[in-house]
Amino acid sequence: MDDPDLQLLRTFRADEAEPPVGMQERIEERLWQAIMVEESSRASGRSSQRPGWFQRLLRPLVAAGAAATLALGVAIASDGGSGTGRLGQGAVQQAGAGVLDATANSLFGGSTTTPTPIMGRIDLTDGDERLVDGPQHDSSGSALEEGHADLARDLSRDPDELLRAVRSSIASSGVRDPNDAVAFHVAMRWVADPAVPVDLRAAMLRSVEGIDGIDDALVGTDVLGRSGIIIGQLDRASGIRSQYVLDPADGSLFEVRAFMTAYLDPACPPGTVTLHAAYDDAGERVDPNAAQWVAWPQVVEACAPTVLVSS
Amino acid sequence: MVTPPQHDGPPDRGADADEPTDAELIARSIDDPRAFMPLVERHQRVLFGYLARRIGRDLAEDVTSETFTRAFAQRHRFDLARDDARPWLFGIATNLLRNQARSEVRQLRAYTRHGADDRSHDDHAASDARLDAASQTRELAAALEALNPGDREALLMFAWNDMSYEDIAEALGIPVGTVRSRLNRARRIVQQHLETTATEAGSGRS
Repeated sequence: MDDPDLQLLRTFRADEAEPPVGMQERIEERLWQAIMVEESSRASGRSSQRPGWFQRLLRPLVAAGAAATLALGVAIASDGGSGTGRLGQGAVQQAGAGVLDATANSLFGGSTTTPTPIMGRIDLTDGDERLVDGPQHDSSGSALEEGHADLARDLSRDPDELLRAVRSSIASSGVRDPNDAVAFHVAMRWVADPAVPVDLRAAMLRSVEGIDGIDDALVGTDVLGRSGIIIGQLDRASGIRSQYVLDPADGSLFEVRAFMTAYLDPACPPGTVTLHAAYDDAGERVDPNAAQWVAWPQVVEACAPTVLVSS
Repeated sequence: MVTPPQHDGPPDRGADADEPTDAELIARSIDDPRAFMPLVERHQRVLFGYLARRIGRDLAEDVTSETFTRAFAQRHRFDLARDDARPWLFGIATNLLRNQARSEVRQLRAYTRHGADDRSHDDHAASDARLDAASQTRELAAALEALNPGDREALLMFAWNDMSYEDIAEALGIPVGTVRSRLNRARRIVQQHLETTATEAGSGRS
């Protein structure tokens, strides 16, 4: 620039201020919140037209023939099952990194060939009502459906390969945003399924360590006060933490729950429960109306992330 | 005569010709809000630099962040015929800056006292040239403070951001002719101020 005043002005800005370290990330984080609020708002508008997001997640996955199992080895001592915690209130302790592998060994053993004692079954292809309820264990002890059993037998026991298979199946299932939260739920449903071979459950549990946002394994209580092993994942985009409370004796599912941890939407403040179900020893979902002595959480399904809904 | 700078395209765009334009990203973001995110990486640096000079680093990050948040909320209003979102973003930032008028005056007064860079402790590096530059910077800051806010906005967008008349007009929501007149007036005042200061300094030395 020729003019002295403009030259001087540009000298004034020449030593341009460098943005502070992490500024871009902070801006993006704030923007993510705005994005999630918008997506949540859209979800609320659609909520009356759709079934639970979990149904839609699992159904196409099963149709695509994916299977995965996670095993929970319990290197963590149970507190004896005498806890009286409620959702969000149960005392929880961290078990430390790498515990999933030890937990898998403890729960399901180190063997890769041990036959699985089939205790029940999960019919993921059944109607919406059952899917949204989570695993349904058949008290008659029937085995996996034929197709699923073949798949379970053939699946790799390598955790990395399993996780890739889960992601691949999700991606091909029509889920709009096949993110880590979806992978976590899919993998954990197989981990918690007593009809799946234990070595596959163990391998799938190990695979979960490769998912972003995985918490250290915890010891805690479920809504019925049962002490279990908690495997959790925080989805940073939605601010939702999902947790599976597993029976430390055999890895069967006590409870699945998910709740908001961040203030992203006034309609879904932190603590809002977006998913909840508890199961009895037979694998049947506990009816809140039949257990009125328990403080059941109120589930606000509209706060569940729409990114999990297939298009 | 003020000569508009030559533009080779929006800054911070990168060399990849396949990259979507700002307008394409914003258009996508209407249905897919996450498509908006790359705009932050593209423009945060230049926005922050501009704002930091005007209101100081402490406030600049907040205003930069708020600019992107508001832009996201208002993206339906963006003129998709324009590829470059920078003028639009500067327009939003300028509106936010108007709430920070006192901060800008404080910043300019700080420059007047200390110069743009606090290097007075760096005795070894100090030179006559640097002292002269620091002195000029102080005078420039005083001249900028003397401008009315509208003229100052136009001048600083032109000088610091290399924005064209058209871009400044879009950012400030005023006609191009008004941009031209504001720039001419602002520059005349700044030049007069600097000349007066130089004359007084010369008289002082003699």
